[in-house]
Amino acid sequence: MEFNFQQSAKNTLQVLANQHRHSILISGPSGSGKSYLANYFKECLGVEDITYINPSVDDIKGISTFSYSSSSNLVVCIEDLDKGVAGASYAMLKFLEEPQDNIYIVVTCLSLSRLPDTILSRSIHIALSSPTIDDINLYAQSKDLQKFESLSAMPIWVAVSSFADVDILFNLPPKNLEYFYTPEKFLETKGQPVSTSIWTFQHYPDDSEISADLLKLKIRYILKTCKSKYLMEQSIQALDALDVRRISIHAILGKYLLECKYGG
Amino acid sequence: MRSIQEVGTEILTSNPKSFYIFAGTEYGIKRKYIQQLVSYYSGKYKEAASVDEVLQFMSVKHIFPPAKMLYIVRYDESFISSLSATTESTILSTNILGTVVCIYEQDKDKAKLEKYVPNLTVEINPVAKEYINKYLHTDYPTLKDEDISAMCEVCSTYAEAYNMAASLSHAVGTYSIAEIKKSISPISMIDVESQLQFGIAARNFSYLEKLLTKMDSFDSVHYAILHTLLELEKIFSSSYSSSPIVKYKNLWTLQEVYNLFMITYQELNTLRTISSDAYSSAIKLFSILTFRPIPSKEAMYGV
Repeated sequence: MEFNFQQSAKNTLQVLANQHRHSILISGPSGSGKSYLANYFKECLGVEDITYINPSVDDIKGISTFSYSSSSNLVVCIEDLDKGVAGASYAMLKFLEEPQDNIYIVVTCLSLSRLPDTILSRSIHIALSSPTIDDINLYAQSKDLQKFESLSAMPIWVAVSSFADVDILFNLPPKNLEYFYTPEKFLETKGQPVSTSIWTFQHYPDDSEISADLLKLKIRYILKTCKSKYLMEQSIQALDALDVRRISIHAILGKYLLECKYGG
Repeated sequence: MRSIQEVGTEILTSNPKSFYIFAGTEYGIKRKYIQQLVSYYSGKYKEAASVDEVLQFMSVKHIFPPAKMLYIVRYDESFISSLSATTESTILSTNILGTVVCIYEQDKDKAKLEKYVPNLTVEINPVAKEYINKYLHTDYPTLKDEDISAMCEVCSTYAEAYNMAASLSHAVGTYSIAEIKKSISPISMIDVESQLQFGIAARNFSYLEKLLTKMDSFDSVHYAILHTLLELEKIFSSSYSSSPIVKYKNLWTLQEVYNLFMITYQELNTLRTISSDAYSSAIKLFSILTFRPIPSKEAMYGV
């Protein structure tokens, strides 16, 4: 299926594959299809194998060592490098500086700002934007038209910003989905201690835990629907922190809800 | 130097003098005396940055005399550096409205204090177990006698025993002091997180600094600070009185809780982003506890 927002990136990847470029950097929001595009690059190259690895120092060193001993063509995709520790980026440098002819490296990240300049200068960069609402609707319709018609009528749908969000909402059990019918209650925390608000924000009414991706969806809904510039800023910071996940979710929500209550 | 019995009698019978210097390592007794003085001054107290600040304030002529209150100065090294043959007479001739309490712990400070201000200084060192037992019975009358006796047996100071009693007085379910006694050392009997929480809530830099020397890793310190601050916020916003740190509420304002939370979060973010020294970051945050008031994140980082 073709999506408009990915078309430009696909065209560029085709050109880079023809040029046999060995080091590609794809940046873009969560769920925008970075890993999918890495696979597309593999197909453009005509390479049979692709391996996805985590942004950890051990995994990067491991694949680097493996690549020196392998003769077959391989695409290596290091996913979300900016979520790793600083050491992971520096482990990448050696891998990028001494590329094997049979190895093609695709690095994905959320934001270039968290990567060292030395990585940026050794790669061709492709920036991927968020899918448009039309892309998202098209994707959702292709998955399940009936569910799409039901879910797209919900207020929470304005917060859906990626294919991953669609997948998550589609897979929610009905009793949990019910919670998202009244998103205006997400920040009903007045008078409560912040520690209680954190609990409430993180849990369904039956005390089961809300996943990190759905927490982001909640905050994105608040961002899209609130009128306060300060709350928008705090929502963006919280989403950023939840994307990178260097700090515990509890601490991120603590800051967010403390700011909602006392800040501004 | 003054005797602890004499000073204790003055404070506990509500006849405090105008200036005390608490030297020595027994933090629990110092805290007890300070609490008594706070109560004597009807809750009016102030944490001052230095002795000089307080004495200068007292020397200025005021149109309306300031209310009598307790002034607490913690670990003022500049005062130690400035000690001379005339310090004691200068302090005694100053008209202090209220009481000033200076707190020190290190032996090197004690030696100079004994030399230059002996009539203002009292050394408060760990007391005999029978006194710890007596104090704990007063502090926690609902705890069982055998449990208090066991705590006195395993703890070396009143402060340690007090903290243990504070934790156990809020224990849910059953606990066994006999099991706790099997642990290697008193400091391990209360988890480090609880000790951190007490130290942070009490704004006790010296205690926290010492606690760090006993820790193998400092990764949990920032989260402990955040957790303590949320607990304090809960105390402020809901009159939550069952918290083990509720007695420290008067050492804080809500603004300070908010400010320190934001500063700690910023430090945590920095630690996770670049290679940083978690120990130095923890010391930095602990030292901020001694500021009064705690500055905002914007003031700290110039953002």
